[in-house]
Amino acid sequence: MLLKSPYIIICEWIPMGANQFKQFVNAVEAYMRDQKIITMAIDKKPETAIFKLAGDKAFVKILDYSPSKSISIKADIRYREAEEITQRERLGIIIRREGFIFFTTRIINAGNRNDDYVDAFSLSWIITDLFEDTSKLMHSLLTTYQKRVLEVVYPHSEKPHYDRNKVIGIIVEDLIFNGISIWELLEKKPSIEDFMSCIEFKERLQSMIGYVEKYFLEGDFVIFVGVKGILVVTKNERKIISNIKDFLTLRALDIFYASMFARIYAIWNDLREIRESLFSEVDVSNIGSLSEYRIKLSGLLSDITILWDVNELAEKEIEDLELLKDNPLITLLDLEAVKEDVKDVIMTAKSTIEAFRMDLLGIIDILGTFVEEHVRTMNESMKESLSKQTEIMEIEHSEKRRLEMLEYLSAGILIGEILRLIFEFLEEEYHIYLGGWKYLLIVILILTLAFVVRIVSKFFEGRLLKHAGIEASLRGLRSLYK
Amino acid sequence: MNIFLNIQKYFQYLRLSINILQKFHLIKMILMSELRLNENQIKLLSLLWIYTTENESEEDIFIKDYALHALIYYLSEKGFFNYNFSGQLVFWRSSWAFINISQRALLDLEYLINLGLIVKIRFSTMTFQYVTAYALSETGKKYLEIYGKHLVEKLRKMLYCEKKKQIYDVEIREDDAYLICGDNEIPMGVKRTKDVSYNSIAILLDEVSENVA
Repeated sequence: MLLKSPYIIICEWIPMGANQFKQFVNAVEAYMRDQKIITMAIDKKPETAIFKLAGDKAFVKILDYSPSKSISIKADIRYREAEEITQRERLGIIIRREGFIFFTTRIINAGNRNDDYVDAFSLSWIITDLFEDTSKLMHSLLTTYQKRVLEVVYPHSEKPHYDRNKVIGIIVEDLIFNGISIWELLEKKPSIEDFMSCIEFKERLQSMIGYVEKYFLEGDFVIFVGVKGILVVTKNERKIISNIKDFLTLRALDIFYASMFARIYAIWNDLREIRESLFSEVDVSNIGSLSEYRIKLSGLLSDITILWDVNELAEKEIEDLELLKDNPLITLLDLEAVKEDVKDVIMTAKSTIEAFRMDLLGIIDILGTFVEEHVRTMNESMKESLSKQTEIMEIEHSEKRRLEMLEYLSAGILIGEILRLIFEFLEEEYHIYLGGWKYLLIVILILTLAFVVRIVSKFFEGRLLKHAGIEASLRGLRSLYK
Repeated sequence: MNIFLNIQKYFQYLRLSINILQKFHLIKMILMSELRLNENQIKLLSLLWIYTTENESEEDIFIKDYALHALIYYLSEKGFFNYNFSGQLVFWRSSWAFINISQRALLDLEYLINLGLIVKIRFSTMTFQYVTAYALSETGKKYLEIYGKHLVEKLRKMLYCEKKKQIYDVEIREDDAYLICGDNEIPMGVKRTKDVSYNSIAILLDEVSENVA
């Protein structure tokens, strides 16, 4: 199957809104229409004067900018490919304030062919390449908030071999199958059924637009609608372009929501796992594991808050979306019904997100109860330990008093004995007799000495306690700091 | 009461006979008619034979679609199948990723299901995802015993792990699908999409006839 100069439109919806659009305009300096290089590299040393660039780059030129409406860009993508691959990848990009982004290009030749026909399998690989490269390009253009949104809906999408889901539109003037033009074949037998019953035809068609849901032959249009996009064979390209936009816009929104719901359910599944392990495995007395869960849950809550915001934006965009009047595709593809369907999806998503948020908050509350329980247990054990400490201190104090008394008594007996020996020495050697007064003197001296010993020991004890107090305070401060 | 039980038994036998006749008729239809499957289709049956019939389990065994696509791609690279591939965006484990899928293989599977040679089931998982899986039907086994035994043997040699004396297991991981046999892990490359050379011009949507490049 060969397709003549296929015109490819890739459309995706990235939540934008007025604020993000303004930020985006500033980020790409849309008001200045000069050519600039956009790169995937991130400046990790903003304080330095030199920036070394060795990665993929794209040259971007602003063609048109209409404030609060759209930006038109031309991009020349120069990403590194394998040595034997030569790609001249140039894209027209329209970024609408509502968040619909259209990447458009016409393939003028591909593979080993030198004419303007592209075979279906090559085109399917070109579409894969365009998907990857447009994702990379937009990732380098988007604001931090939009990157965060995409991270929630399409995790890893900026990495190789991962991507965002987009919708494809292919418009060709002619389609050659088994060497004969589709127009010639239709002149002989005006039925697409014959094509669709041919397995080779179906295989090639599906490799480009996915499983074919429906097909039509309407005037000078042959239309194939697949799960991934639409292929239109027509000699009146200009006429179909404006009509196909509505189809792509609705599909892009629908695809975004399908991806968003896939993520919501994946996150919900994470939440289920957290809940199960929280109620079965977690040691409530271990505050460390509770904190881990708190971090995980706050991450999920932030994701769901972002999705809520995205849903609000989508609700507004679908309300404002007006389908083009006199569009033959509206009836053919039942676009009014598709619009209502997408609208329903957006409206019901609100309640799903809300239910999810409530579920999440419920678990966070339970976790809070666990933490409170943990704090209460800690308080109780602290109280218990304090009263035990007081009791021990009291025992220690009375023990100390007892020992002091014993010490005084022993010291008194010792001093008394010494004084008695001194008086005996005075009597024997110098014949100084004090009579009964010596006993009174001994008592007075013992009391005086005991008083002096007490004052001296109090003085040293005070110094020791002061030192111990400073040590304890330092220890307390250290543990607080830790 | 006895009459009622006899009637019930009679109907049971009747239903059983009809089933046997239907199966016999289907096998006969396939074997006696002009119907001949192409080589790729018989090879697909052989692959399902290897992974869904050669086991001692009493349960029915099915092979999941991502594993089957990965095997088809790997075996095409090894020259067993003759299929063309295109990159298709699928929900791979936790995110969207391109994998190499053959549309022709999908159509062949559909065809074989319609003929009753393959059974397709779809089941829910512990997560939000649904999984499609395939197995060889009894008719498919009979067909393969007559027409495809040599292909089964050829395939067995390709997927046989000498170390553990068994067929390689398939494991789907974040970065690729792997053939696993003990410590031996072979990446199948299903996520390595192909690049082609091309030349394009930038045309804005609103100015389709105007070349702005």
